[in-house]
Amino acid sequence: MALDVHSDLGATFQGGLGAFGGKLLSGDRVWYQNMRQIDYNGPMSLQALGLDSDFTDAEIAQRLDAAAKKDAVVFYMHPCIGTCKQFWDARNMRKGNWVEFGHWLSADPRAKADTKRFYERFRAFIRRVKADSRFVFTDCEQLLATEKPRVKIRCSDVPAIRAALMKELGPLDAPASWSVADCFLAAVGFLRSETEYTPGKTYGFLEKPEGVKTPVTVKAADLRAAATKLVVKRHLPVKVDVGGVALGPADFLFAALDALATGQDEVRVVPRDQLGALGRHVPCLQTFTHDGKWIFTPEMKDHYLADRLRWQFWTMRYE
Amino acid sequence: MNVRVSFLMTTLATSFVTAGTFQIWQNHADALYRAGEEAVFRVTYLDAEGRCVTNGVVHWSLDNFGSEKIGQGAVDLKKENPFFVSGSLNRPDFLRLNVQAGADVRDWSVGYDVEKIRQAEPIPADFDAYWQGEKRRLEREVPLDATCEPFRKDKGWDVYRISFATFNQRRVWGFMTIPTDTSLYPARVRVRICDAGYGCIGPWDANAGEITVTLSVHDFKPADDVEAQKKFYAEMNRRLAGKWACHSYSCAGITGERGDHFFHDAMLGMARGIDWVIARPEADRSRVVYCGSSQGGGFGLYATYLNGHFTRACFQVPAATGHFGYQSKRRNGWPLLLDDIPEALLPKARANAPYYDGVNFASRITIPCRFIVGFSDTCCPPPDVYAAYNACPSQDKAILNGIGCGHCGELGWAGWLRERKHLNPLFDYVNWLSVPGAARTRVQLWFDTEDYTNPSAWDAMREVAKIMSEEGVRGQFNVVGYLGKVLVDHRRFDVIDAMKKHVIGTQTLYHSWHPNITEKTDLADYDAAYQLALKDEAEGYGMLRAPSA
Repeated sequence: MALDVHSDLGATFQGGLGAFGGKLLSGDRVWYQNMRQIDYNGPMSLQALGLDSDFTDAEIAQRLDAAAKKDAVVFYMHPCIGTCKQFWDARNMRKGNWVEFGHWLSADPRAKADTKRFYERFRAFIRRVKADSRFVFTDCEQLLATEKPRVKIRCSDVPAIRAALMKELGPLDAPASWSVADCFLAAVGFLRSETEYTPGKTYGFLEKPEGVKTPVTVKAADLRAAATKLVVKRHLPVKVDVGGVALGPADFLFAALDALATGQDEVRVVPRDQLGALGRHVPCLQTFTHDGKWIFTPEMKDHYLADRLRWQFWTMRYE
Repeated sequence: MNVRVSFLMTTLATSFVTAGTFQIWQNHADALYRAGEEAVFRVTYLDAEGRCVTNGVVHWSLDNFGSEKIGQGAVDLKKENPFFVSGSLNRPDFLRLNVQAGADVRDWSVGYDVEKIRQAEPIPADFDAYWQGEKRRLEREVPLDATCEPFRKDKGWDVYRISFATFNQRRVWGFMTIPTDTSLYPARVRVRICDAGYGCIGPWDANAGEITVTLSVHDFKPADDVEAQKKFYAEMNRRLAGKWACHSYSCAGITGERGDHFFHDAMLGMARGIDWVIARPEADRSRVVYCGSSQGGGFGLYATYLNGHFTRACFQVPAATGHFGYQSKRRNGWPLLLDDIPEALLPKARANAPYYDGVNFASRITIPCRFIVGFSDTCCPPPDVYAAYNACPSQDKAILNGIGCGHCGELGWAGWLRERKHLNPLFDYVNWLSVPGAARTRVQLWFDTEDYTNPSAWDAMREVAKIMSEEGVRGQFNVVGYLGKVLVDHRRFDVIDAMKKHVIGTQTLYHSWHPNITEKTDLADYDAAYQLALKDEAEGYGMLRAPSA
């Protein structure tokens, strides 16, 4: 939900989504729900420089060695911990609002000498990373400046897309960086006789997508008719009526690609997983829930949010 | 072993032979055989004009590059030139043919089951513990005391004379070149340790595109000219011979305690000196390559293991791999560490030698590496090099077989390989070492900037922002919307101004205050949840826009 809102407000980057758990396959090349995900539960927190722990030089070297194996990392901290021993919100809002808004309880202050030492270690850390040729500092504005225009999908790409998706229903690297949703929308356009599709914002599902339970055969003409009627304003449909047969979105996608690639009048649809290889690309999200996490109140049960996040897997791509 | 000679003359008188050259080839183009297979050598003896010599005698012998004599004979060139010699081995090893005519001598060998050649002497159980312990001891007991003095400026690079302290008041000396074109930074680092002999008096193979390091194994400061360097070298050898009764620096101390060997202090000093080089801001730590030959090849095995930061290595005809050749009836390789040692001292030397055995160091090397072996190399014989290569566990390794190649120089493997690099990219080891650097890890510094309850936290925001600005690094403050408003309300422009030099992100309107964005939007109705979140977050954006404008 927050991703949709912030994306619509013009934000490009999202950082540290707990559901990704620091386990994304790239530190800053993953697009999910139209935002570039910056994975920041990385090798170490800057708070380990003498605040919530006190790493030795050898421990820092070990963390830097681990960081150097990734394509991108974020070293992060909460500045408030530089001067306070506790988190401000843990003091005031842990699992409920314990004070009236504005009447805050102060977190315990940290000794000034400790704060001073942290600043010194923080500066030394920056110098250490700067001097280490395995790393290069960047920021989101620099990353934004390197964004390239999206690559259009053309009819001639259909065989390659079909082959890639048959191998794994998930983000494509070749022929270009496309999400499954990009491919779905392109296939719909091609069934309507359009010749190319320009990828833009994409959305996943608002319900769990379900496919056919037994093999069925559908006509290519019915696929074209269904595509003509299909109106995708934002989220993708979880069912598509094709000649009276309710296909799941992946059923429809593969049937469309089969019809487009082979030119056959009829295509066979077999039962398959509709969402795809979520576990390989976003392992933590498979079982993630907000329930009982962080600072939430006990009433927060996460009836909808984590599932909705999983159902957006078709928006994922690497670029 | 079978030996056959196509034409054998045993009663020929030695007669005059024109100074010339031998051309030799064998019946397997790759010079590799399986145990028991017959290798046939075709030998042609040519005069200075390239014509077949028609008088005189060629003496030949076959052995295993060691003490096992397999056959010998002589050929009357009046009767046959070219002529053929054949023989075989029934175990993994090298079969060497030696031919002589007057002053003209040529060695040629072929390999048998070369992938099975092993070192007979086992690696000491405490090999790793010993060397890692010695590294730690050096760090503990002897400050690095690096010196780096400008030596000269060349076109494209600056040359520095460098040195590092090691045990026994010794220093490791060498030269470093740094490209003057700063756009090349961080630059690849290429290390080379000198071949045997009087050492280096300047950098070898300097290059405008990389940082090069040339290190000497000797314990004296490099002289300014060759003659002075040779004098220092002779003095050093005299001093060491007086102390250890050895024929060369390269064997000095092997009969003493384990750490007395002349190489010990140099190996350890070099290992940490290389660390000093690659810690320089100009150096690309993802591209630290080693390339050295002979003594430098053997020291490459040492340095690759002891330093641990090399990313690729090429060991050309590496020495120090044949200390124990005699155990397999093979010829010991340079530096002939266990040769000419009095019987009484031999047990000590034999106990120490495995700790300086290149084969044992090779057995610890896992980075991509290339070995070069000269099949006619009598200094670092091919079975020894193969023993090191076979011991190396790297998943990306290759060995380049220099058929007919001697030890060093343009007539040896270097020219031979250069001629063949168009046939097989493996032979283009120079280009292989020049592999582009690994992509560098992109690093961001992010700050969860949330606390709108505590003014001291705002001081911390300002300070980390200032430190980053002073260090020329741009961080990202992800600021809670309401905190933006609070900072303005409290007139904390010191904080705002410090943070404005960095990237400002958002972090919801009130962050943890309940119900927060997550709690608010866990609704069945997506559209209703979206509108609630949109209203709050848009308000948060507004609170940040004003102070960051």
